[in-house]
Amino acid sequence: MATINIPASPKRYFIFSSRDDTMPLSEKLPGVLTAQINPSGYFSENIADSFYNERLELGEVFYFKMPAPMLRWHQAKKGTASKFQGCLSKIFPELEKISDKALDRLINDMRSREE
Amino acid sequence: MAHPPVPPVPPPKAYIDTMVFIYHFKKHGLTSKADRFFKDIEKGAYAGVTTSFTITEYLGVMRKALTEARNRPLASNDVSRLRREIEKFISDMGIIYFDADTLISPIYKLFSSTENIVENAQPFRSPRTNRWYLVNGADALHVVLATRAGADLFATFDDDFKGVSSWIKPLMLFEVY
Repeated sequence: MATINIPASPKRYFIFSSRDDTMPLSEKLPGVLTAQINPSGYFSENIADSFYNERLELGEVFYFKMPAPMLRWHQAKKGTASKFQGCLSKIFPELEKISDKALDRLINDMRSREE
Repeated sequence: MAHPPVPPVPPPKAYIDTMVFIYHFKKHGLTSKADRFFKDIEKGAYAGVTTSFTITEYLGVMRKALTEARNRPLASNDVSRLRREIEKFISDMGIIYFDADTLISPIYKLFSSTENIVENAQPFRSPRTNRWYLVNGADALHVVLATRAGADLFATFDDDFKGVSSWIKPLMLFEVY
């Protein structure tokens, strides 16, 4: 499993941190995934103190494991794209009643609440 | 001394949005473009990447499309058939597939609960508009968040939420006010 070095500044309240690895491409260094550690939260500092992590305070570098995919990449079975082209229209012929415009509306509704 | 075989290097990874699958599976003006893209994946020009949330959104759209086409709710085996097609396609295409929950947290399950709602929510036909309403992926995400926040009611103007009463009671503001 791949590990990624997160070059984050040491912070005390690591337990409430969040990762931001969605930096714009222009800010990314090649091959390096950077992360921002933001100590924040709902809790008072007294409670946060109980999660004090001295290993971070001492500047230790932590490694985060990237989650593994359930299915890994492999070469596609030849002919798969053609085999599945229009497959739902064949299985459910009644879908012909749904026009391109109606399908586009359903897809837009999937992300937008404007109707 | 013979060297061990070098494993093939994956091509550039392309995250595939839900609509690309939908346009490929259901005949549409964009089906041929989606097909050319998937044929490029097949040839090795890209490695496809997707997550379980894509399947959730695909099920939401296609359940609604079929319900509208038939003018009645789907049977559970129809929903299973919809799921089987995309899962087989993802597997046969060699698309890298992540459980969306594992990308967010090693502990909390958000997307799998969302998927369960999209797969099982009841469609509702509004007498006001004479159209079918059914929760989609983003709607169901709100339902999961509402229940986890301890809410008793889900206040909305959106008829899509009529069918989520198994999880939280909808408070339909069009009707109440």
